[in-house]
Amino acid sequence: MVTERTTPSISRRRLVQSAGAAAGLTIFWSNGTGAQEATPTGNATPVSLPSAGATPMATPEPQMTSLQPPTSADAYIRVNEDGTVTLLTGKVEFGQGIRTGFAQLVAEELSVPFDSVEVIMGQTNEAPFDIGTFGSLSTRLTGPRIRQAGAAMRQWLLELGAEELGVDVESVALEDGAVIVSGDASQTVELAVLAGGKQATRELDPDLPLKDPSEFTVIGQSIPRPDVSDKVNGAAKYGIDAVADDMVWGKIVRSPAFGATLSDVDFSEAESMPGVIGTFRDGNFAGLAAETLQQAEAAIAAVNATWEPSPSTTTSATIFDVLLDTARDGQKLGDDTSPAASDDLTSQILEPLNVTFRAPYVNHAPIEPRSALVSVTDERVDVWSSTQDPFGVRGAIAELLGRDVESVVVSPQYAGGAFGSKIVAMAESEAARLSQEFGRPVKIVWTRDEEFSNGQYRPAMLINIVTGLDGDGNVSAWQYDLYSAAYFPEGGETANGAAADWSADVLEIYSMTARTIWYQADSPLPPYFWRVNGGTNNTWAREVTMDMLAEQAGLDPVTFRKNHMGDNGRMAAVLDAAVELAGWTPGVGQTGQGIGVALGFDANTYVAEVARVELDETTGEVLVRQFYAAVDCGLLVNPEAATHQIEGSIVLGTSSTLRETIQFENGEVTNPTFAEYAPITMREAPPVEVVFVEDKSNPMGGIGEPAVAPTTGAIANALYDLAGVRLFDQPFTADRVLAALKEQ
Amino acid sequence: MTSYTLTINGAEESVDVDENTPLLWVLRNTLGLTGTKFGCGLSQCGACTVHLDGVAMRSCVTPVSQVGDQKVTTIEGLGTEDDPHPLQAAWIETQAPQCGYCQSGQIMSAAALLESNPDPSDQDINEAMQGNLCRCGTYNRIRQAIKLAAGTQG
Repeated sequence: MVTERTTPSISRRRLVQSAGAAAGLTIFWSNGTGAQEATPTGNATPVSLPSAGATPMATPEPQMTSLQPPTSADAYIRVNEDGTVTLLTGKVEFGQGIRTGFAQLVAEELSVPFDSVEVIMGQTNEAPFDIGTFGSLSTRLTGPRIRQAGAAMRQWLLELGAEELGVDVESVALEDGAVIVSGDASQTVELAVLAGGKQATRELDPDLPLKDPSEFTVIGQSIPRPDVSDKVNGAAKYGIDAVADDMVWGKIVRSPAFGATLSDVDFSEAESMPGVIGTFRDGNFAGLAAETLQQAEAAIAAVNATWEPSPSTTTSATIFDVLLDTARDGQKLGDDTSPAASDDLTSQILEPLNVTFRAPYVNHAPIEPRSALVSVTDERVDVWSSTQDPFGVRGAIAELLGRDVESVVVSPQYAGGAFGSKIVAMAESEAARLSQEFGRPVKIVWTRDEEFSNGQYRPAMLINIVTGLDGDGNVSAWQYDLYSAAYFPEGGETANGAAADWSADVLEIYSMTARTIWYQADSPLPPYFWRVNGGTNNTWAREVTMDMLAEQAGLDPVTFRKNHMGDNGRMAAVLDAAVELAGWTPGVGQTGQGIGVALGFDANTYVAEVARVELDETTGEVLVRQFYAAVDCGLLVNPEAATHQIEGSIVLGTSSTLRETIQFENGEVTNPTFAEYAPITMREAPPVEVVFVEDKSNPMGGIGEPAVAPTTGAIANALYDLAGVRLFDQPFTADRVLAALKEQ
Repeated sequence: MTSYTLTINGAEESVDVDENTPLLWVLRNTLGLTGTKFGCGLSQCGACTVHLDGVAMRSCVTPVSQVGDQKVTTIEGLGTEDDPHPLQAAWIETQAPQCGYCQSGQIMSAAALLESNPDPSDQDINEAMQGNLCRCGTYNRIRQAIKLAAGTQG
């Protein structure tokens, strides 16, 4: 994943002496992306996942004098005087289960009860710097480091314990929250006793052995997630729930279209309405605040704003022509061993298959809209929001207001759905500007219309594949051209496909002669990360084309794929597991269902999915009856949590495949409601069965996104098996399917 | 501004709000009961679902002036951590929530369903829950939890 964040280039992997009197042992380590020296804040009041009542949010006292944000540390562990263990991490929990998984990793390495591990997440004046929670990076990249830190802590505790017990360090072990003499548990000293009053640092040693899987008692267990309880009784606090004394409600004068510019704002009626405390304008940014939400809503409706129309003439119908017309900067993906961009592979193919796939813009549509509560004073700035990226928000607000980073404190709250939409500081920036202007804490909650109309989108993509078979029925060449806006950074001369091109390179899964090019194109709507990014559309295009080639070769789709597996044994294994789980029954027959398969690879995780579909032939509605997923994500930390992520991923992918498309014209979104956008409901959600293919010696792969990607391909292939119909435009709405059936 | 006396989770609450204020915001902003959530304000997502005299209603489109004597039940009144409603216990048993934001509304809709239909079929569940959106995709677990609470899970 490419990020443009400016971080210092020093890479530290050693512990730093605590400047304060840390009440416990503390371990730091580097996340390898380079960072500044870490300084612990041992005295800061721990702030666990917020679950306070609807009273003014308490802010932990910041350690402003000695604190230098430990940007080299992704997390650190503290053994407290009462024997509990605290893990601090800059990652945040929003339902993906990492609060639980991380605690399991620590509990395992330290041999302490799972319940004794507290996890403090994302609190920027407490937790170490983190690049943000996205990209299926938490378990994959932070997880191993948490284990290494646990191992370092274990070694230190063993040495301390051995000294305390008067034995050699080889004679002791950690068991159940204590150091014991191996084989004689009567000789014991509790961690609480060992940790009391001591400060220590320990250099992280990557060669220090981690606990062997054969000894696991915590990792691999489906431990119930501790955050679930608050989420069923209304106690869990989200960004939208944050309140503060003296706060006012902000509203922004919204642009009617991307690219429109604000030429005139008339606040004269609004500013004298009840409760309004102020109005503000700076260029295209204009807003007001009032004492109550209803007063703010009434006032913003009374604002007369004149906007210069957007120069964009693109519509959701013409976007694909625009992608082709504005294509530039073709960049070849993959390494130098694949054919050059200029090579034309297609001339070698006798019966070329030339297919074009089109996918529209889609919206994240989390049920909780963006929101922020920001309090700007002369001394400090406090931000409460449901962000995936508290440190990014901190930096953005500091820069916006011209403050030192240390004086900005972000207290992340639970996010009610994110999927990439709660990374960029949007509501946070708006509330910060108004709070700075009005001198009171400002609360902004986006409306659903604003979420659909003024947010961010997975950009439209056009994919063209030219391919064909050789005389043996194998793929002779594969030419893949992807047209899409750059996700991140947007535009720019040196933009890369980062994210649009996820899973575009067929060689990540299959063996064949192939070359893949990403062409950057214009986008009238702002593109941004959306769960697995371009992975779903690229996987769709690839997996449907493989099915088409299989048909040309006269081979079963599963057999055809296995013929191109090369030495990709892990992928072959999940394919086998998925078809065994599903029962591979193509050709409709007695099931009355179509069946389709699609493979995916993302975040070092291998996925094979099979879909069973039926069709309402009157309406054209595709009915996804069942999904099966075989997943190899390496060492599995919490099977239940991972299973749930896979289920949810497949439901989201089913929704975007069947229903989701942002309609727009001239920069304006024209279907900005749930009723029009129509994500799937319980009725349409397929049941999901999951099987894991696990070799515990494999590294931990990501799980937040990989299972989204194969859903469209599996549904598409199943629909063809059922009805002989292929759609090359998403979404596969009932109207489109009906039209395709009639054309047959 | 008008004064209203509302019965919320068995307790009388006096509020002074504009008559058109949606019940959702009276609950959240005036009374600090933030368990009921805002998702759309248009009765299209179900996150704001509460009970009025046991009937599931979308509080985002229910003006406070229409509540009257009806007994309002929110997620906070359905059960507590120590004394959970059977659905809340089932939700925990099945580990239904991910982000959790839609779950208050989901549970309130499910509670109203079970009150009137203690043995719902899959079709009954689909219809009763159709207005409660979940973007994390927890629908299958919600269905399991409803059946578990209903005692009909095999």
